[in-house]
Amino acid sequence: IKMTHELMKLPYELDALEPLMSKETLEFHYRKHHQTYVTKLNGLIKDTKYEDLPLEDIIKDSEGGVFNNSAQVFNHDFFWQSLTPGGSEIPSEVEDALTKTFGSVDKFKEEFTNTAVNHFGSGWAWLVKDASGKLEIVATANAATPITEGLTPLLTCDVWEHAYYIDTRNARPAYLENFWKLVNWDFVAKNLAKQQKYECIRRIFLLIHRQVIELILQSSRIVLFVLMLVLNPQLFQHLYFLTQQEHQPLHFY
Amino acid sequence: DIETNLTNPDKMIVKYSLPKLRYELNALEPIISKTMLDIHYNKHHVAYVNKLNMLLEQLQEAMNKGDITKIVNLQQEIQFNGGSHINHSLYWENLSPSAMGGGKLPDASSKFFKHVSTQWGSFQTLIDYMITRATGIKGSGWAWLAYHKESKQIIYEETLGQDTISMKGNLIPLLTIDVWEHAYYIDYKNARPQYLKEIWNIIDWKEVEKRYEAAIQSDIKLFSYIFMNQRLM
Repeated sequence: IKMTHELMKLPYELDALEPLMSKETLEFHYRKHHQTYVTKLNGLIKDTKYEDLPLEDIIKDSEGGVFNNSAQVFNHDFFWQSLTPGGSEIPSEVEDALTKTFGSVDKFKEEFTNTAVNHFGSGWAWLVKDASGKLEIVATANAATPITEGLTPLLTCDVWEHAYYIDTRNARPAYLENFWKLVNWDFVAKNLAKQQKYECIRRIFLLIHRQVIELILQSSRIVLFVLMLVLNPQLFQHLYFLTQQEHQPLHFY
Repeated sequence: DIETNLTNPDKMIVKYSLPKLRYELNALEPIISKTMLDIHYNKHHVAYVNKLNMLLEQLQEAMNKGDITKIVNLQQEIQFNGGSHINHSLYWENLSPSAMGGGKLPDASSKFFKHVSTQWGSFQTLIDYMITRATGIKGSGWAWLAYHKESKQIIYEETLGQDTISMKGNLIPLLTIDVWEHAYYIDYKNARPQYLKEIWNIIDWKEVEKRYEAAIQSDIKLFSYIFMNQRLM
């Protein structure tokens, strides 16, 4: 199935995040930057092995221009979903998880903000979960994304200058302040819960899968051996001969 | 041996400052608007310089105390902010309004002109190449024209973040263009190719040529030019 990637539909209007994130920013960030990554990606994967793959598979298997554009499509998709007009209340399970790891929600916000503000140059700040369920704050540079490291993203903030330059110019800290007032904590909760279920199922599946493969291999070995002996009864003789005369070359009569 | 490596605590650490621009803030219009130049120079560059001075103070303290961990930990930020100060200073120097010669190619009889023509075919070829390459720089960085001392070639190079050209080898900077988004976003938004096309109208080729002349001289002259004339002290 050939996949043409499309610019995701924004979950809200272009002016819905005002005044914290202006309509002008959305117009450029979504309709120009994000759109360009989508358009470029489609152009680059045409007539290549990537044409049939879903986005995340492309990201995990590519480099150079294909990686750059596919990862930025993913990152921006995730970013728009991390925001919601007027912000949101933190669900209790998210609050508990944050408190457990960082001490409190405020301490988490402080650490996330520091990571975002102190990141040199273009990139992203992420709240992620590793395979064991542990929460972590990481920064990635340019188009890099945590899904290539086997991490599950929960929340992201774009710290490329184009994300905030129209609204707060060089003041990245001011942008982060606005960001917190727009975070979609329900999206965070969804990411927190979703992967846990998948992880369990994925592990059980892998276990069964492995056992089944082993069984098939073993039984096919036995079948092949029996088949060989059935088709060539003389083989019994040769094999017996072999076992008795280990250092003699094998002679066929 | 920590004792002999300690600097004299009474020695004043050099304080870096914003280099003075040779032109008014509105002089580079319409290529670079007054607003954009103002913010780039008086907000971004200033912040790098102030941070650099603060870090160097901390470095001096750490060196006096013999705190090797602190000395090591400061290096990354010093490289970033110091590199940024060098890069931006070179950038302001190689721009100028058309009234002051910006955009005017060097004289065809000059050594520099002949070198570029021989090596690149023409200035337009070189410019087109730089536009294409600089457009493709992923994320934040700088596009350079540099003189390679060993091969005596004029080459294109790029650095990422605030890395400066000296980190790429024995290269003398001739021309640099900032492709961080803050260098063009206010006037060009996401249209980096447009910014790169327009900027050639304000490139001060006289300055580039001066750097070239210094680069092909002996090393002593070169160092004195780069470090004194660039007004980094």
